[in-house]
Amino acid sequence: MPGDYNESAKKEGILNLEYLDGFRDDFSEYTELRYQKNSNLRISLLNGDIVANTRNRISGISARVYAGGVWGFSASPETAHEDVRAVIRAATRNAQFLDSRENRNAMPLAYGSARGYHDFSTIQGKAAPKEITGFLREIDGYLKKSYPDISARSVTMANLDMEKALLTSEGSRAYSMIPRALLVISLTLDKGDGPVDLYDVYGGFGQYEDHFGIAEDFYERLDKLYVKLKAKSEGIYPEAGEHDVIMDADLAGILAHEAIGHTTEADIVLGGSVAGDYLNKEVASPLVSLTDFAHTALGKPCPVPVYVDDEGTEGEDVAIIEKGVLKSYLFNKETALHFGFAPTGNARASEYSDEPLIRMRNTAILPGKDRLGDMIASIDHGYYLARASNGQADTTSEFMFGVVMGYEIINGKLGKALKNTTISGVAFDMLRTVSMVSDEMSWSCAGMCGKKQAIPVGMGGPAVKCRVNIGGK
Amino acid sequence: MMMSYDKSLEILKKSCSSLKETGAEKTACDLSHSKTHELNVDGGEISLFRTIFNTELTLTVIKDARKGTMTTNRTDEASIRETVQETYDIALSSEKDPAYDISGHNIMKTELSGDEPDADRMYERLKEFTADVRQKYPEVILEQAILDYKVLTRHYKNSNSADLYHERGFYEFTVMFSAKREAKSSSFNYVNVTMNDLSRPLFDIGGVDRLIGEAPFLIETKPFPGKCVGQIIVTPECLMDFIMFLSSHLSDRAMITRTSFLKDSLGKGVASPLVTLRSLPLDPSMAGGYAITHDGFPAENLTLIEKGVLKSYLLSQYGAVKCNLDRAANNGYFYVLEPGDDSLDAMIGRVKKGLLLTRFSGGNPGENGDFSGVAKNSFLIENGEIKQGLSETMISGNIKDLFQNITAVSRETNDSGHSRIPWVLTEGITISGK
Repeated sequence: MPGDYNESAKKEGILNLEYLDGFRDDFSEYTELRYQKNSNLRISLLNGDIVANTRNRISGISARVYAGGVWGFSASPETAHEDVRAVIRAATRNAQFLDSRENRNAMPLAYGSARGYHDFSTIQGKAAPKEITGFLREIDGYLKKSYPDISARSVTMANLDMEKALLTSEGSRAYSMIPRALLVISLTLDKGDGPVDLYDVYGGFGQYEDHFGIAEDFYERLDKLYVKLKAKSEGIYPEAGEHDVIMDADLAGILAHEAIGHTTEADIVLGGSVAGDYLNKEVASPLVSLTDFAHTALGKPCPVPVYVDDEGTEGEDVAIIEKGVLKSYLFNKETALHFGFAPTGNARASEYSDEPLIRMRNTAILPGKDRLGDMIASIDHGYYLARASNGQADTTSEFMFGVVMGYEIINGKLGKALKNTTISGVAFDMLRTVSMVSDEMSWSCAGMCGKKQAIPVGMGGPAVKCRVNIGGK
Repeated sequence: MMMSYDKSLEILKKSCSSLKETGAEKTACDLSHSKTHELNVDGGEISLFRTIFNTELTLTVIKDARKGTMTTNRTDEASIRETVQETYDIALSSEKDPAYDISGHNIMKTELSGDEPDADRMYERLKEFTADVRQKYPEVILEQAILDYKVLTRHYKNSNSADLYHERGFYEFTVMFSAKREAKSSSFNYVNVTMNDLSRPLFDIGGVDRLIGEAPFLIETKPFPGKCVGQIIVTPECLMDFIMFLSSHLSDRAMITRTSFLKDSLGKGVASPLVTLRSLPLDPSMAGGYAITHDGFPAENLTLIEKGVLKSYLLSQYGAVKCNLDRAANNGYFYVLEPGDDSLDAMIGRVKKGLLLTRFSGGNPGENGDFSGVAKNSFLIENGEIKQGLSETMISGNIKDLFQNITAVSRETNDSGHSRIPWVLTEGITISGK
C-alpha cells in the first residue's frame, strides 16, 4: 500500500518547495503560488486491439492574488525564474484591474498557515510500459477465453498522479503527491434483443504497482461481473413509481456527494441552494449522519486524502449532517469569511491552470447498526440497487442517478436482475424516509466530480433503506 | 505571449527530427497552444479575472505496426528528447495492429489577424449583463457566469509531409442560474454560447434571455399528473444532448464493437424525413470552429443525416479501417439541424398532453439506445397551452425512436454560436409523474 516516502520523489518534492521559496519576496498582496504536475496514463483495449496507449504529463505554475475582495489568477507551463515572476505579476495585475473597478474594500483573508509533506508514490519498483500492457493483455485474454458469448469487451487502465507544491503569502508551505490507479472493465452481451452492458472498476488510491500486476488476482472478480451481466441480460425493467429500495454503498456514495454534498458547498449556498435555509434544522432521519472526511475516515486512509488544501488551509473533517440535523457547509477562505466560520480545507484545483474551488474530498454517509440481509428481508416488494453509472443533482436537491445493476425484491428475497434504469427524488425529502442503515460501509474507488474542473473525489457509505422514484420502461 | 507560427514550427521541426532518429516508420507531432482571458461572476458579482497560457505537444510513433502516444507541455529541447524516447518505448510496449496509420500529405495555414481581447470591453459587457439580470429578473440568482476569450493554435506535422496550421479566436459565455422566492427555489439551469466578437449584449445571444426568463416560472412546480405516452417538444438546448447521444453511436467505439444501434444503416432511414443534420465546423458564423481533425486531416463540413437518411458515420482514420467504411470528413460538433415549416406556437398548439422538455438529466443511454431520466426546467403542455413548471417528472424512451418519431420541426432556430438548432415535436415518450 502507498504511504511510505519514496526517496527520489521526496527529493523532487523538496526541490519544488525550495524553488517556490525563492519567490516569496515577489508577493505584494495575499498570494498563493502553486506548482502542479498531473501525470496520466491511459491504455485501452477494445476487443483485444489497443485503441489507446497514451501518457500525458502536464505541469506548470499558477498564482492567485486577492485584493480588496476580488481575485486575479494567471498560469503558465513555463517555470523558469522569469516565467514564474511574470505569472505572479499577471495575477496581481488582474486582481488590481478588478479591484479598481469593483471597489469592494473587503476584509483581508487572514487565517494563519499550514505545512505538510505527503508523498504517496509507490514503494514498489516501477513497472515498465510493456509490463502494464502485458497485464492488460492477460486480463483481456482471460475475458475472451472464459466468456465466448461476450460481443464486446473493453479493458482500460487509467492512472493519475497529482503532484502539488504550494507556497502562500500567509506562510503555508505544502507538498503532496496523490496517486490513483484504476482498471475499468466493460462487457457487452447481445442475445439478439439488443446489447446489454455492465462495467466494474478496480484499484483506487495508489499507483499501478500498488494494485495491479498479477492478472489471476482479478479472475474471480471478473467471473462475478460476467455472472451479473448474464443475469442483467435476462433481467426485467422495474415498475415505474415510488418504491421501497435498498441503495447499496455505490449509490449511497453518489447520493452523499451529488444530492447532499453539492447543496452544502458554500458557493452553491450563496448561489441559491435550498440548503441555505436549513442550517441547524432537521433535514433527514435521525439515522443519517454525513461527513466530508479530509484524509482519514474511521481509522482508515480515504480514497482522496487532502492534508493541506490549495489555499494553504489544513484539511479538517466536516460533519455536514449529524443525526439528521444539518450542521455545516463546506468552505474556502472567502466564504468562511462571509459566513463567519473557519475554512475547512475544501479548496482544491484540478490542474496547474485551475483556480481552487470549494470541492468535496471524501463524502460519506456513516454506517448504522442494521445488517444488509435484514434490510432486504424487511421489503415485500421493492428493489435492491447495487451499481450506479452517473448522477446529477441541483440546487433544490432534486437528483437523478443512472442504475446499471440491481435486483427486484419479492417477499424479502432478491429476485430477477434489472435492466438499466434511473432513480430520482428530492434528497432532503428522501432522507427523511431512511428507515435502516447497514453496519458496513465501502468507498467507490473511481469518483470524479465535474464542477467546472473534473477532479477525483471519494464517495462512500453503507446500504440505506429508503423510498425513491424509479423509472421503468 | 502567444506562441508565433515560427516558434511552433521550430518546436515541431525539432520534434520531427528527433522522432526520425528513432527509426520509426511513421511519426506525427501535434502542437497546441492556447491563451485565455477569463472573467468570472460568482454569486452575482464579478470576482475573478484569469489569464492562462498552455501548450501541449503530442507525439505519435508507429513502429512495426505498434503505436504509442505521449503528451507533454514542456517544449524545451531536453524535454522533447525525453518525450520522444518515452513515446518510442510506449510504442514498443504495444501490440501490432495494421490499422494504425497517420494522415497523408496536406498543407494548410490559417492565421488570425490579432489575438488580444479588450479586457475593458469584456468587463463592461459582463457588468451590463449582471445589471440586466437584476433589473429584468430580480428573482434570478447568478450562481456563476464565465466570459472568456480564447486564442487557440494547432500545428500538425507528420512523416508524410503533412503540415497543417490553424489559429482561431472566439469569445465564450457560460451562465448557471436559478431563481429564488422566499424559501423556494427553482432547479438550476445553464446556457453556453460562443461569439466572434462582443458587438451584442450577452443577454441577446442564443437562448440566454429565454432560459433565464423562464427560471422564475419554475419556482412553483408540480409533478406531471399521472403517467402517459405523450408528445414532447424538445428545446434546442436539450435536443443537442440527444444529438450527442446519437453521434456517439456513429463514432468509433460503438461502430468497431458493432454495438451501435446505427450499424449497417448507411443510406437507410434512421430518423424522420423532417431531419437533416449537418456538422459545420468551417461555417464562418460558427465561433470557434476547428479546421483540423483529431487525426491530422483538414476538416470539411459534413452532412450526417439528410431527410432522415444516414449519409455518413463519424469514423476516424483508424475506425474507418476497422469497420471497412469511409473516414468521416470531420469529428462532428458544430451541428446544424435544418429548420422546418411550423411555427413553435403551432407545434405547442398541437400537443394534447405532453411537455416542453428544456433539460434532460438522465443516465447514459444503454447500448440499445434506451434512456430514462428526469425532465428538468420543463413545463406541462395541456390542450395546446403551456401550463405549470414541472418537478419530479421522469421520461423514458429510445434515442432512435425519438428521432424517428419527430412529427414537426420549428422554423425558429436557436443560434448558440456553436450550433443552430430548432425545436422539434416528437411522440412516443413515456412521461411519469405522480
